[in-house]
Amino acid sequence: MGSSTPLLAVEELSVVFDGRGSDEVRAVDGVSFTLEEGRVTGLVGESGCGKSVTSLALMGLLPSRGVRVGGSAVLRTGDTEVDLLGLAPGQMRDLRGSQLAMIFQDPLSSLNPVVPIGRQVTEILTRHRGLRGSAAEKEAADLLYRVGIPDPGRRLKEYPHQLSGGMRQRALIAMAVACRPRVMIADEPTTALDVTIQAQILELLKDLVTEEGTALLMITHDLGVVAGLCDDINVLYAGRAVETAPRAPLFADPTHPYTVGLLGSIPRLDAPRGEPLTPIRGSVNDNIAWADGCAFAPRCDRYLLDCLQGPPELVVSGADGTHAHRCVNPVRHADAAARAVLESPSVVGDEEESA
Amino acid sequence: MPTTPNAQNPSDDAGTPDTGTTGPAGGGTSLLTRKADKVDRLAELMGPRDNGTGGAGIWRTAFRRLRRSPMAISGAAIVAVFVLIALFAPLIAPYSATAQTWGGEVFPNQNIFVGPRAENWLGLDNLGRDQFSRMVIGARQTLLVGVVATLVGFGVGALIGGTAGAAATLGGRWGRTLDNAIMRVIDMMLALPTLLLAVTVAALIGASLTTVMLAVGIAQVPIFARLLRGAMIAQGNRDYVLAARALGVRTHRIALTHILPNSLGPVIVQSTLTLATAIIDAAALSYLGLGNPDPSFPEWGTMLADAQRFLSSAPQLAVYPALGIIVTALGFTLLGEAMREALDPKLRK
Amino acid sequence: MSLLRIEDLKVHFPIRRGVVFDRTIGHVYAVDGVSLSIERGSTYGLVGESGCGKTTLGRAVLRLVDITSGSVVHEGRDLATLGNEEMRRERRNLQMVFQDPLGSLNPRQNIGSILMEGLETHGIGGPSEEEAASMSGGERRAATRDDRRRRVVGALERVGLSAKALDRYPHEFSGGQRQRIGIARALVLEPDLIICDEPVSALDVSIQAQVLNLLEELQEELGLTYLVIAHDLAVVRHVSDTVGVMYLGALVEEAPSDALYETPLHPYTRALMSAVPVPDPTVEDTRERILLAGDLPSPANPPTGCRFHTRCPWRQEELCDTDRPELRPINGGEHRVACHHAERILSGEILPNEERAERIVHGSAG
Repeated sequence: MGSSTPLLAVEELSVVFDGRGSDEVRAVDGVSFTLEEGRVTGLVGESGCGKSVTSLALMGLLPSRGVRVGGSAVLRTGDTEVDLLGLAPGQMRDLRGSQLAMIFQDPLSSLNPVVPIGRQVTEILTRHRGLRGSAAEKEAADLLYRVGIPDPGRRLKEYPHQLSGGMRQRALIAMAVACRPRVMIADEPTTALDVTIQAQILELLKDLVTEEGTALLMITHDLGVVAGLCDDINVLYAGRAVETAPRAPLFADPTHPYTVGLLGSIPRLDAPRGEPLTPIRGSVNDNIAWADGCAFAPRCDRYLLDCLQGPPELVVSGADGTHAHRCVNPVRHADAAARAVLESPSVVGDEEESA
Repeated sequence: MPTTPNAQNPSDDAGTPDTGTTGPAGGGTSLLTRKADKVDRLAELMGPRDNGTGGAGIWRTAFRRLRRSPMAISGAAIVAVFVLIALFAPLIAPYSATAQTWGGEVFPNQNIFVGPRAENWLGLDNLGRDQFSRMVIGARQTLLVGVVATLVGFGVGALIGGTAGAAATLGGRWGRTLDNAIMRVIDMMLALPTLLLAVTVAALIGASLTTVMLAVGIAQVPIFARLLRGAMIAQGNRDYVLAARALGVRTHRIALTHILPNSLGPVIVQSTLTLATAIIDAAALSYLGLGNPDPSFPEWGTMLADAQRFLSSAPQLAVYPALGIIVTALGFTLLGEAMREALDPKLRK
Repeated sequence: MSLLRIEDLKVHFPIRRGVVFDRTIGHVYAVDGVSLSIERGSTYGLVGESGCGKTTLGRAVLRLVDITSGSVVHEGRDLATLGNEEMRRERRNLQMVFQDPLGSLNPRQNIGSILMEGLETHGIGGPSEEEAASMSGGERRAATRDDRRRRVVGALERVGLSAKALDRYPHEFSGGQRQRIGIARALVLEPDLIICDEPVSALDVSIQAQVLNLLEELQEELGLTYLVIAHDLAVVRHVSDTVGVMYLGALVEEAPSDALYETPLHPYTRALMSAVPVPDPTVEDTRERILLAGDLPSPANPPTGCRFHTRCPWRQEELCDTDRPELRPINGGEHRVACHHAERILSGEILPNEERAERIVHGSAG
């Protein structure tokens, strides 16, 4: 997409779980995006859209049995290029921590409960940077200080349960940035936190990206978080990107009915009160296979017969070619306002009856 | 237009060509048919998924998982064979288990024993009785001991544990005190080794089969009580119990219809495991001479004890009942473990 | 008169230690002196972060937790003093919708039985006295069963489900449908007040709006009164007429929804509001953000004076760490705030201390 060569280029990533006894599940079904230095790329979607599976696939953390991963994810390190999806487990382990780092949703379960924070941080420093003894300890304290943990010397000796949720997430971020990774993946890093703590963490992530030039892949369900943090945004639905755009055009001029629906579903703090929400019908389970047509069609107010004739192509719109949507009948800016009065057929499964 | 070869309906193909091209000029009727077409098509694509996941309770899904588990199948096979043998023992046993029919052929004091042969498949025991018939009849006794002991343990344990659990979750302050008192007693029982407890009971009321069953059962009481209480307290903290309280449902009804049924899973699994230990414990008690004093009534534990005297000269006499006990216990254990896995929500996908 | 009036409500959970005898070694001050009133037909929104006591407050109204002191007055009766049996019967008038739609439904009960339970418990439904007099026992039971079934189906249809759901089990439904079932369970008793404890936070974004709209529709049709408890200020503001902001067991500010958004008076409210993400990049880039330093203090050992003074960027030398501010009306009366210096902060006389906040991010572009 952008002008510079991407740090990580993900092409047509697909992850298929072999259902034991039942049908296979296509959790991710052809997702492409790029990560660039000093930029934040967002993957937004609801539960089951494949955003977390995407991150696990990139980190090589999917179980090796019963899962088929397709496509490519090329990481440029210096002049060499490696495909993350084709690496041996040992090579992947070396990359994780040094080049790739991940921040998880639940900081308590991602930290070892019986090992002090300090040991968990120095372990990484020893493994990937060869630091030992007091040097490692000093660096660990430095890291904790950098992520905004006051009195790091004392905190290093404490156990995860002695830290509050926000502090734990900071410690986890400290561990992630310990080796100055080029690529960081944050999977719902603030979902388990309170809003005031969330604001602190988001600010910290923003600083890390601008100061260190890290490429951040931000995975979240919260469009508000995306609006504040991400530069490029991919909206995922049922395992595919349905709309891809830089953040300004995405929020100002959303074209895919799903994006429009999501934006209409969120009560906004700054909207005048009494303005009704316009929810999307049905639930995320009400979809059809992408092979048959647009997976969103059963919940879409704008679907046509064309939507049900095989998978819709990604169509580039916008002047500079950065805004793309996967829709046969996209929302134009002009009719966004008239959306509510459009035909709203009470089709398949009145309300959510078809789950 | 990209189409998929597999799911195309011929009648649909006839309707599609005009959809892309007709504009608003298409007129009212074509608009209507187009609308109907797309609704039909969508319904067709979504159709099959409706009956995909049929209504299935926890037990039914657990059973479906059990059927796919090799552990469960082998366990169930062993248990089924054992139960069938025990039930139809008199029909299966070719000879009387007590008659010393071949008494003249066995001379233990001269180390003359009779091994397997055509008419006696497992040979003769030290008194010249058919070993195979004794094993088969013995299975019956063993099953009886196992089942009755487990029922005693389950019944009494569930009653105590259920009372404590219900008191702890719903009884307020007094309930917690009652729970505390009950559980301290249970803790004391738990601190005693099972076998010692059983020996004590057996010593108090004299040696008999009933003693063995009671003793082994009582030894299982604290395990069942703790397990059910723990499960009930865990369930008692769930939101649906809070919801029932918020609804104004009476306390005893919450305990009986909400908490208890959801807590029984682990207890039922435990009872299959207990059956295995009960059989082993009963055998041990019989072996120690606390079992049925009538030696003519075969029971695997007693048979094992009797065979001990001839261990050096006729080890096969000990091997048969020992194998029987081991295999049966293994069967129940396998089945119990498989059930635990099938019911564990963490392992369920 | 208000439908529900809470006065100086306190819920303190004892912290017990001990091997044989439990000794109380302290208290968690979950709710520590909250007063508010809810008008019939309106929605009161209670917002606050985790650990602020909002959920405990909701449960205390239903007496699902023990009330330490204070009163909860519903239709002239103080619920806090009722006996257990009286309170149990009173619960038909006060119902609750829970956060976790799956966890709050018994997995072994089908939907019909879940919805029927409340009716059976309170003996609602059935033929009227005169009709019943002319019926035999069997007829009466059949009539009761039919009437209850009619009510249950009615409630299900109101929440957008059909009678087909009656024989199915909770795990067969999607998250949004389960929450609808939870709402129907509360609705079927025709209560005066429904307490919604985080009604949408466990749901997907697109489903949240469905449930919020459903709650609003039901209020319009049935004249329901809600107490909505949530951590999401945007959700609370969207549904509520009056919003109360809680911090560490106490209300720090209470105002009509719009007034609260336009002129937040309490420093905590301002920080909270500035932290709520808005799905609009231009707003996100330009607005001022107050990042609070540190975390919520422990409710077992709350700070003296103003509970918020340990994190407050506007904290002053006098009063803040010694005197606990009362909730007092400002600007006429509807708007109440518990801050010693609210007026001076509003007028700009007191400016936030940059060192005390972790950071204050001013809007970058105009």
